[in-house]
Amino acid sequence: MIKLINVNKIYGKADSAVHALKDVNLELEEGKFISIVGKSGSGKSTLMNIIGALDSVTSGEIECRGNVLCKMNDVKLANYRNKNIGYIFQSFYLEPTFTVLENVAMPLTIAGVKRSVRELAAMEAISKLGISDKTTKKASELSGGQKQRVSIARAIVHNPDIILADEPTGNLDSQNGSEVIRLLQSICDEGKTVILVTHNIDDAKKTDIMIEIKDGVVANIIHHTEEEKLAAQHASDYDEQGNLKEKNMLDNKDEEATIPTSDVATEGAEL
Amino acid sequence: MKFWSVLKLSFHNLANNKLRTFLTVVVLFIMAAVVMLMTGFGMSFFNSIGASTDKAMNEGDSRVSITEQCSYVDDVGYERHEAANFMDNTVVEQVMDVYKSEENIFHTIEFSTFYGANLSVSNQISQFSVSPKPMYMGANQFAGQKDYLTAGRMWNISDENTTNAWVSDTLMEKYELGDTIKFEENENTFTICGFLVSDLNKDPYSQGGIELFIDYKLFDDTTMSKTSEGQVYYNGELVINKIILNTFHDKDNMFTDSIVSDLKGFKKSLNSVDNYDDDGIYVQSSILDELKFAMMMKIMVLAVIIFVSVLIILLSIGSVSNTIKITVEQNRKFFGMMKAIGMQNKTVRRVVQWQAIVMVLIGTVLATGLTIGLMYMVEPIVAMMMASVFGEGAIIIAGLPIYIPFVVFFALVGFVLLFTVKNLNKISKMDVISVISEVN
Repeated sequence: MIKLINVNKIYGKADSAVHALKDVNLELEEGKFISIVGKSGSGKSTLMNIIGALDSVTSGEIECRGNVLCKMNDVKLANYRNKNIGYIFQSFYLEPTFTVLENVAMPLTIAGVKRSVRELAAMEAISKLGISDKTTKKASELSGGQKQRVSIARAIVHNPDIILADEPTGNLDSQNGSEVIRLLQSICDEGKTVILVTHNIDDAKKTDIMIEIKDGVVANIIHHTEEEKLAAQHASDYDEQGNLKEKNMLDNKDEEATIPTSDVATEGAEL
Repeated sequence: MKFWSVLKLSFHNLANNKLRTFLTVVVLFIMAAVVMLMTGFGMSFFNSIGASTDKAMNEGDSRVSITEQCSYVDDVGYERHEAANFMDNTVVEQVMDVYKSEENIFHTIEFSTFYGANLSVSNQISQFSVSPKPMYMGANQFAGQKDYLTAGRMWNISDENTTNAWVSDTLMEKYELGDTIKFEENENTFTICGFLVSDLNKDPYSQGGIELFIDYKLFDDTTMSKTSEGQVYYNGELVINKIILNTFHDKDNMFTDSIVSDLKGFKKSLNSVDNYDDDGIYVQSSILDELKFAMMMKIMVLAVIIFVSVLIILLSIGSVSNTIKITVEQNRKFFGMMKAIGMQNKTVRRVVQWQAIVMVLIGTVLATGLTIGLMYMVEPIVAMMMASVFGEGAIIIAGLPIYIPFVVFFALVGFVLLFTVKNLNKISKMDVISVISEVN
């Protein structure tokens, strides 16, 4: 459970102060696919950053799986982020000169995990994302979709409890974006809490819970049924004439991908 | 994060901007090489001065016996005078008279090298022995007797059973420059301000007599800076009242006149030396002054080395510090991402610090290689400079002390880390959110 109690976040001081979050109270259930939507400047990224221990609250409390983040010092927060959070950024944030394997293994490298162990885990994550053939490629040699897969692999390699995705589809075309959402859903299906920050309502409709932030306040919390999610997924998969859109599969032709595609997602919905 | 991972990231960041890394290493290399070369040169000069000075202070077995106003007529060859012969002090007084007539310029100063084990005399001698008592007595000549008057004064033979022995061997005390000697008779105190130099490399016994004495190059390098009215001053202080040259070998005391004649000749020859002025005052600078000059040179060399080294190290630091600053700025995204996924501030700092250390290490290693090579060129320069100060007897110790590269390395690393604290603090204060926002 992730609890936010009377969370306020104010940037700046005095006249220039910006009240990014105002008395936000939230209880996010674990193992759910949660989206945070809102206009630019609404406070959705701030909320995600606070949940992800990247930012501190001005007042209020935030508790993630029993950890009171406000009481942690920088070192503990860094360790918390390293062990419990997986980040997926819009701009991927991969080190271009590192290989895919090195990028994916980075959280484990930081954690001081033995090389053989971290490479094994990284290979497993890479394999899950279906980019095994790119392992030795430099990140700079990858396409946008592939980079985002690497980014997702890096987010899950250390088996975190929470995956935070900040506009992960922002730099991708619609089909690759849709694929990323499917991948996030599949991660969620493995029991992880996935929090997606997006301004794309279509993507948000594919999540279990959609939280709308407006001017720093939680304006709406919408729970989607499986049917609604399926419909949203269907809408993104088929055009207006009902034809299946050509899938780019994140520029990947890797047949070994084990993360479920739309078909598997559909199966998941039926369950 | 493990050390090797930190190091790998450091190398990665260095390799990411090869040109900047290369230029910084070049700067460090040049700076370190200059510092090491200067230090090597300075240390060579410094050590050579020290060794030459030590040699001047310690080397040689030339001993000078100074007795106050007592001429001592030594024996010649194997037929030595019996001590008893001196009891009436006739010869002594004769000689004394001569010298008194010669304005009593000199105290009795006697070389004792001729009985010492080591007859080689260097022109860098500074240590000598002064005996307030006569140097030689054949104990068998006076065994059982006490209170012999020898060389103008009384002294005791404590061991009646002693055999023929060099009394002075046991009585001699060694003195250093600047030591004072107190004579028992009238409690006059003298300061050793110089030494006599002889080019004796021969056994005086084999030479014998007056000629030997003439060979002595008395006062060639003595420190009498001023003589006047039979007094020797050093730095304005009266150090010796009178000096009488009194080492000669006068078999059977038959050559007193010749001796006196030769002494007169010797005095004349002294007067002909450039260092004597028209008034016969010896003006040669003191060996102490020379040593002081050498010491001053050592200090000056040290000061120059330290000053220039610090200056160069500061320039190096400026260069590396600037590189670190640029690195931090250019790697904002990288460090921001690392911090976002859990890298601690201290780890980020370590990555940057190791970048600096690696650059300093490469620069220092290259500089060490170059300096060792160039030290071969330094040696003749040091030798030339030393020869100009100490003459041919100078000791040359040229080379780069093994610890210098390490000192330079650690000094550079220490200063670089110290001066990059500000930039490293920027990393700690780096706002990950703003970094992410910049890109997003």
